[in-house]
Amino acid sequence: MMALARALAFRLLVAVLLVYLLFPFYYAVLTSMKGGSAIFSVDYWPRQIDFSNYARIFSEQPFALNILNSVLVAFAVVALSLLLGLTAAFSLGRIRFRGRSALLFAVLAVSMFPQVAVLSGMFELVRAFGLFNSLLSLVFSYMIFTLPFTIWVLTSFMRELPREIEEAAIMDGAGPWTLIVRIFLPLLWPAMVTTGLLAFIVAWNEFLFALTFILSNEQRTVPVAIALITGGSEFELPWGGIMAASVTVTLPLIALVLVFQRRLVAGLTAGAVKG
Amino acid sequence: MAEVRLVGLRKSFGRTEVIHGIDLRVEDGEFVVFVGPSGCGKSTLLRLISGLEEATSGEIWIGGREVSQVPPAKRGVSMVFQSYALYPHMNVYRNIAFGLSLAGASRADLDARVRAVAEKLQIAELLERRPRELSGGQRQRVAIARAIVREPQVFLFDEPLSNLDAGLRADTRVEIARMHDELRATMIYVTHDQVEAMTLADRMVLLNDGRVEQVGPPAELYRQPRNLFVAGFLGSPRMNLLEVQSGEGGLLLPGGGSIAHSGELPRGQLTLGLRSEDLHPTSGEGVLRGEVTLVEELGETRLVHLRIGDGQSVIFRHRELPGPRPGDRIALDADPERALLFDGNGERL
Amino acid sequence: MAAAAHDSLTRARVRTAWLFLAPMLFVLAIVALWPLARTLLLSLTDASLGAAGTARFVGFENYLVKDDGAWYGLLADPLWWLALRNTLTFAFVSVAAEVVLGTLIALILNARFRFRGLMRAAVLVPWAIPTVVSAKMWAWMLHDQFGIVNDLLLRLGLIGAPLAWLADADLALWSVIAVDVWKTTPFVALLVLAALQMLPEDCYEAARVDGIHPAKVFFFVTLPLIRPALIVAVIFRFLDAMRVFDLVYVMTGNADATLTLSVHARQMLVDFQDAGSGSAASVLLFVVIALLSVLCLLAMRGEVLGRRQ
Repeated sequence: MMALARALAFRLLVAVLLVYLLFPFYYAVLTSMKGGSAIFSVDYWPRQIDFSNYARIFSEQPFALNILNSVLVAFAVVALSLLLGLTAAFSLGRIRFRGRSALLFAVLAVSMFPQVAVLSGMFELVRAFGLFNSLLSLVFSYMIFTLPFTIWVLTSFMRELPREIEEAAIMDGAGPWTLIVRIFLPLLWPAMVTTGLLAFIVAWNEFLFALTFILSNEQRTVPVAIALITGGSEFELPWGGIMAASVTVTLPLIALVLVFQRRLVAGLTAGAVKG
Repeated sequence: MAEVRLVGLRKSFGRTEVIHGIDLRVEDGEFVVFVGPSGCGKSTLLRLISGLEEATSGEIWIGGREVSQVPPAKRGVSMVFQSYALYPHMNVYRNIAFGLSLAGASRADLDARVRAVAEKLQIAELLERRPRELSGGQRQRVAIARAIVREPQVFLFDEPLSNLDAGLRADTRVEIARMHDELRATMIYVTHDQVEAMTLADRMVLLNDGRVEQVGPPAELYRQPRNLFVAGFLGSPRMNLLEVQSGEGGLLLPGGGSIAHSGELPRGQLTLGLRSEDLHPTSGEGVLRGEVTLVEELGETRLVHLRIGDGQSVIFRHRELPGPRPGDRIALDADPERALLFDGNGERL
Repeated sequence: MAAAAHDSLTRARVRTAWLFLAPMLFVLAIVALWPLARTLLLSLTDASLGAAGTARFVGFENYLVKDDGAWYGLLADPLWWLALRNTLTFAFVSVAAEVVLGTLIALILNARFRFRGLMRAAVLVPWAIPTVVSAKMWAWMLHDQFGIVNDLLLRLGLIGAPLAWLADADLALWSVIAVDVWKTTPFVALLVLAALQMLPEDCYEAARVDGIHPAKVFFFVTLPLIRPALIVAVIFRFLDAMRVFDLVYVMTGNADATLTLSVHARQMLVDFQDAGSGSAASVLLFVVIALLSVLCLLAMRGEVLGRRQ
């Protein structure tokens, strides 16, 4: 009896947690498919399937453009952080030199910077480079988030590669660049996928810089676009559109995360536990 | 092919010196084995020759060229690593070809050389496979093929057999010996396994704590060790070392026996070294007497532990049947020609 | 020939290291160090964000100044102190809740049961959802008139009338905290799970053989063993929570009840175009976080030393 009761309690706990974790997104999907006045009634189960909210965010707003902007920024950020991160990780992970741990520590310190602490300085810089209201300003400023953890995670993976493989390549006449591109890169691709994905998510989600450095609707990225969606009039509730937009940008992300869940978890914990 | 010469070679890591000035000459075509207990500096020495570590001072000559400031790939040496260090993401062909392609070999030349080497090492049918699809022995061959294909002046082996199981290790040992006969290349081989060292080496270099203890052919190190360290390191079971007193015309052994000795001997306490195979049971008085405490059966022979008094004991090799049993009392004769004497500093007299 | 110093190969390798580090260092210098230095400098001026070049050096006036017997500047501004209090409350409460809930979820994920795969995937969902999206989702669920939370609580008879979760000054901060807990607990759970999976199996077998109660096993075996991982998670999360911006800004804007240091600094900087005071507010946040980081490091070092003895 006790065992049965315990098993039941455990199942109940799991069920409650599942509802807690999943319900908000479920409810967003449900809301996104409510048209017209249905938004005013609270439903727990889908009553109608209406895609007019989805149609509206693409027709009444430049949401397709916003998505394209986010994709462009995120890919550029990933490519740049991986390139810079990989070369830095080679130095930090495979070569012993004075000041190496101080450098790693400094990189870690940068990841602790509060975003607003660099906001006014960054704003000046963006304007000085003529990047105001340009997506490049975002690619450039997101490096402050993505570079530190890219470097940390890649360095920790780089350290785990066996020394003898590197030495065999050195004996074979490989210089540093050959070593990175033809030996380490192919061996590190799982770590590259992980860090690339994390960088992608960070860039995809960033809000403050995107809010501050971009002015026009056409240049905005997805998070800002969603945050700024309003109803047609003061009395119209914009929630159907907001939820449609939210679901649109979140579904691919959830799919990506679930497909790569093992790698992501490994990357997350590698970055954190070694800090 | 080339000779290798080390002159006053030193290496420090930080403030600790691990190689204390080594002078050594490896002849062209010679097979030299560095052997010694772990931490003796044998691997470091090999890595200094390869260029993977840089010497703190001293000279390294390979084929008449001083190479201590030359990058590893340009020293004309190839190295076979303990873990084989094959590139996991490349197939066997590309593993072997990698060095050649970096050196800018033409496609046709490269292909011909890779296939020739693969043929020679009987891995031609494995060229398309990845390292993880190969057995330990096959990986070993690929690693050797990768070393051979560059036609180096000197081959360096860093404990290449220690990842193989016992049977394969014996086979590969024979194969490396055959390869040396065939290539007549200079080879330097590091191992902690004295059987490998004895069987492969033209000459052995026994290292201890960053210094050379003795250099010579295996039989010479085994029969004429320069000091107690060499005597104790080589041979299994270890050489029996007994505290003896030198006196008028001979040596007084524990338990009252004595061995005649001609020639001048310092008076006082000395150490007598007797290998287990140089002690024989006798029905007579013998020089050593004692009680059997343990018998280790090895099949063709057996090792018998004998307590001889004064808290000392010896091990001897027993061949005849039936073997002795614990508790038996046995007398042993020793071969005086084979007996070794060491003074108070451990140097052989 | 041999007299020359024997380190050209080593030196070449170290040169390579710096060469390969240079691009990254250059980028970090211009995206992190330079802006930080400029922010520091701007905080000592009366610059305005719109009109650059007219800035005047004012010393520490933006921070604190005494004029005509009255104190002015951020440190004399009750709003800044309110923001500090809100931020600390937010950080302490949300991190505490996340660690407790995260550990619970990690323990469940570490057990063997039929729906473990589903549970593991479900945990990642809140983490994968962009912060702005979760803020919006929850803002809708917490809507005072049409929100499902009010509806559910009314149906269950837990409240008598709909609550204004985000508008009511007494509730807003707690609502934001609850959303942060929902969003970030998965991260903590994953860290704790990673630690749990590294625990030695034999301790547990020994405990099972001895028939020790599972709760006791948790408090006397598991907890001490995962303590280092928990401490790392707490520090990471705490320093992160101190910077909170997106969630608060999207859910409640610049409202006083939930004003955090980051929101406050951005408001002065962007909305009021006051680069001087805004930068000063940014610098103060930076200083607060730096101080807390140092404290955390010291605590961690103390922990390590304590364990060694």
